[in-house]
Amino acid sequence: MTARARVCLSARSVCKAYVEPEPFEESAAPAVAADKGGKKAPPAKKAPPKDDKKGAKKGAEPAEAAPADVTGLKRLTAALTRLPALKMLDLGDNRMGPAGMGVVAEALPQLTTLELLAIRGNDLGDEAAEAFAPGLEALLRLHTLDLADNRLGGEGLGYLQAALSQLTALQGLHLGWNPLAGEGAAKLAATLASLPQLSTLTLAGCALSHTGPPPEPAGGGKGGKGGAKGGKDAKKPAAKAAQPKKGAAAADSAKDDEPSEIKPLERLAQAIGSRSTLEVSQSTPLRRDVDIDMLTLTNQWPTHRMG
Amino acid sequence: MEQDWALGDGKEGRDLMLALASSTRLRQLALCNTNITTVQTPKLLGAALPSLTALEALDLSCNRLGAAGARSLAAGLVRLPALTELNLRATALHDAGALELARALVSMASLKSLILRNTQLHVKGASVLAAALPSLTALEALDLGNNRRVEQNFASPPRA
Repeated sequence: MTARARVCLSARSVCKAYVEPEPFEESAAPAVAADKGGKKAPPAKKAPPKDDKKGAKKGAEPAEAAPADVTGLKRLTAALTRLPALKMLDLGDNRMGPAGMGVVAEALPQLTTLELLAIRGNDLGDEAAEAFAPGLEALLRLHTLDLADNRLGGEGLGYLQAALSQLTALQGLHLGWNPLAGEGAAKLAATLASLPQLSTLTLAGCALSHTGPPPEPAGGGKGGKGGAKGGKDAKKPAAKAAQPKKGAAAADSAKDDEPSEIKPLERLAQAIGSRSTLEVSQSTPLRRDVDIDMLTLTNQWPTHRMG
Repeated sequence: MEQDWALGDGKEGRDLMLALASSTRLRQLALCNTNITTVQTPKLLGAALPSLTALEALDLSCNRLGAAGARSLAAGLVRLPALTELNLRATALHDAGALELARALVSMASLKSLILRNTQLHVKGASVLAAALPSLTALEALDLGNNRRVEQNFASPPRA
């Protein structure tokens, strides 16, 4: 894990090597109990429960107790705008919530040197997405955008759609673990057309085949260990998607699908299919050099924990 | 040079730190998850760092350094003229450690990549870091992810 993090974030390897963190990263705190005595600590393997006790474990429910204290974050984002060479910024998995993300959004227009922005796991939510869009629009050099696990549904993606369409340099877009079934899939389909450079699209855990109301959280959200790195698993669904004619049939066979709800999924399948090079059949992709070559569609079961 | 076993704070760790002092051509040093926890090993490492004039990348991730460890290292860090990458992921810095680190950061203008993922920064830690960041004029990559695993991190509302 450490090596991976080092690889994906070393300044030289910029965006292409971006590897998503584990979908539900558990404590990466060192597996060593703090041993103040200074005696020979055996290489303990048990993680100390210490750090986890406060219920800081990602809960499915948004915390809405006292207002967030964003003073530290405000200073931080102000400082970020004074870094002239900043290309990669990872603020992921901080569960900032709408208030914190609002602060980040205010700084974005001044972070125009950014090529990679990772804000996964921050509970942005549909409403706050509206305020986020104008800032995003300014990041014209962005190659990689990780918006995974942010409670974004069709409404949120609708707000972001115009901004995303401006990011024509985008090569990697990570939208996994957002409830994008239905409307979200349709909005995404429309957006893909304006992203000619896009080669990596992650939609893992988006419950794309789910058509009912947002699913109940299932079992503490640990279901996602197969997570968002399923490059190999992606081939199968992508192959289906690459044949628009069969898209409907594929969706039909998907669990829990109502025929009336297939349309957005089908549209997404077509949008992807018109670009995908994963399909090795006769369908000739239009622009081989810029087409999606990595598509992740793993974990679409509707029972996964999601905002 | 990749060292990836649990050095701990025993004799091996001490010997290695002392040996480092003569490794003047070392360019990358990875000591991730090597059980460097007590004050002594970070101190020895901190003392060895000024000899590593060619060091470009230092990875100390997943060692429970804490504020004391950060303090021990800080003095050495500022004397690494070639250092461009510093990885302190999961080093349990907390705000106090961030303060120690921030004191070093203001003199580390060549740094290009700084990883402070999962270091349990609070509001204060974010603030002291913010004060130091503008000194890092060459910084290209900054990772402040996964700092939520505390009761109140630098942005999130307190959890019930």
